[in-house]
Amino acid sequence: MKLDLVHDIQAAYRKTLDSMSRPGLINNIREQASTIDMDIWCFNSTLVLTLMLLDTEVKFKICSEHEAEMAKLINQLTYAKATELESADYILVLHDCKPADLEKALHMAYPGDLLDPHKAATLIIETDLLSNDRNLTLTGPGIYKENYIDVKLSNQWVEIREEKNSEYPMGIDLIFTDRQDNVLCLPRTTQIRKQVVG
Amino acid sequence: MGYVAVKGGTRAIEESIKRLKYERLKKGVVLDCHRIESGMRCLIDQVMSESSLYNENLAAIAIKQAEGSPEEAVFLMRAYRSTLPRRHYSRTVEPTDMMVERRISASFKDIPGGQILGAANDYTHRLIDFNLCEETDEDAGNWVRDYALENGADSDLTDLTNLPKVLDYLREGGLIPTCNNDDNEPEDVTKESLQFPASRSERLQILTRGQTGAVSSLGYVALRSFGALHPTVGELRIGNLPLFVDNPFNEENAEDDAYYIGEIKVTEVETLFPEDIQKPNGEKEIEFKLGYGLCYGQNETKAIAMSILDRCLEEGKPEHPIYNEEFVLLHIDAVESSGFMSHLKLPHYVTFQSKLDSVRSSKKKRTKQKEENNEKNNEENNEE
Repeated sequence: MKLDLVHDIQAAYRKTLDSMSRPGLINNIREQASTIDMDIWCFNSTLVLTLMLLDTEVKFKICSEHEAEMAKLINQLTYAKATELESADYILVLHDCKPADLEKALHMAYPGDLLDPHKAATLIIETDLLSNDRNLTLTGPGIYKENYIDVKLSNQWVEIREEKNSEYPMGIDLIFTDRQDNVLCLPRTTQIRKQVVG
Repeated sequence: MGYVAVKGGTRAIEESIKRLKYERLKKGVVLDCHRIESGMRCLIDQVMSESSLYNENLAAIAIKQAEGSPEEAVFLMRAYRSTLPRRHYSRTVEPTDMMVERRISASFKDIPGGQILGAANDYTHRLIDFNLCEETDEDAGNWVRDYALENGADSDLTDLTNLPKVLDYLREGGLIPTCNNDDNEPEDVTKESLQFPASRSERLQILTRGQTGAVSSLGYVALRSFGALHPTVGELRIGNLPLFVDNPFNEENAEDDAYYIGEIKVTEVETLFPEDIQKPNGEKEIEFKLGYGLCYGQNETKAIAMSILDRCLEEGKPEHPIYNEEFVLLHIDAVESSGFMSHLKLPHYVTFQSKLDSVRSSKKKRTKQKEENNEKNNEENNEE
């Protein structure tokens, strides 16, 4: 079966939106992602998100060893144009990218300005596994008391994100995907606390 | 807690929607979309122009669904338009490349290339043709065939794709100032909400998608009183413009890299406004200022009104509302105005109840006061 660009993308969009409004809630888009039959250098779920969010109006940046090939593919699929980290509306950090590149992407991503905070960058980050294990504690809008997540990434990203999002309403939004096609969102309003092992 | 005052009514709403369908179908005859497309050219042009979506098939379906109501058809088209992905931007369209069907000038009789009347209602008697009651498809076919034969014998060799602009002729004569191209990227009113002062690109976009009646009325206002202008139509042309898009995969596109994607029919109007200019030496001189109107399809009144409003907004005199861009631009959109009117039909039970309460309590207060006054008067009378 082939990915239906209207209905599959719409279904995945509803799930992503649900995860975005309830930070920490992990939704699965395997049903849609599994319909992609292409040899690509990213997870199928990441490609679904790309087809959902990118069009000719936005610019993107790929952080990966296969940057050139991926950039060409995404340009052909969505007509979005590749650009540098500072000016990208969407930054895709693929699983083959080094931890230093993720940190650089977080540092350089455009946080918007006070007049137009909505023009900030969104990062789509691939991880090995997403779960609700009690590693990080989330609080903020859309969360009743607390939520817990575990993201298999080098832990430095939490601090960089916090610094980047310190001047609300400016800040960056993150979407995580994993090999099981799970989707997790961390909008800029979510506060993250690391669990301290006592 | 939800908005309790408007809960319920689901079944009533479902039945109302059914009733609407019944009204459309009750006479047992349905309109064929192809017939709407071929017979309602002007309505389709109006709907496409107000909805900023050029597609005759879709406009025909919208008109059918809306039972011929332009405001509803425009609403449907705008709603559909908002779901479409934005894939390409066309290259800049040059009106000089137009394949002209009609082209007139009220300023000169003998314009270079000649006046071309084309199809227009202007020259008809406006008498209802009762023969149309009995018209059949066969009659139409026969008429069109005869018309083609008649034209084949008498063909003109004018190059309709390359007609000079009347205003260029005036510019060559030094009668109107030449203006340079403004190659700034235009603002897009469908992407960013309008902020004042608006740029000319934003003004023209809002005018061209404005409700036909509203644009015409406001144009009429400017013409008749409130700063009474009397412009002259320098040129009105109707015809098809070719559209090209760049190759989206190339960083840079050469002149011939573009793809032809089709053509759109537009009405273009350039009007001339004579204006007294005071020279430094005290002498007065007349100069011509320009107004520009362009809209989808054949919408001549709207395009002329648009050109008048364009001139007024460009000038921006503070004494007349018609020269005020907030007054004009915020009130001519078909969906915005009909939407705001329609919202008055929505339940306002709570706000109205609170208004009623305050009326009741102030009335109560007043009667109480009256009673007290009466009592006092009675007592005084009794004492006397």
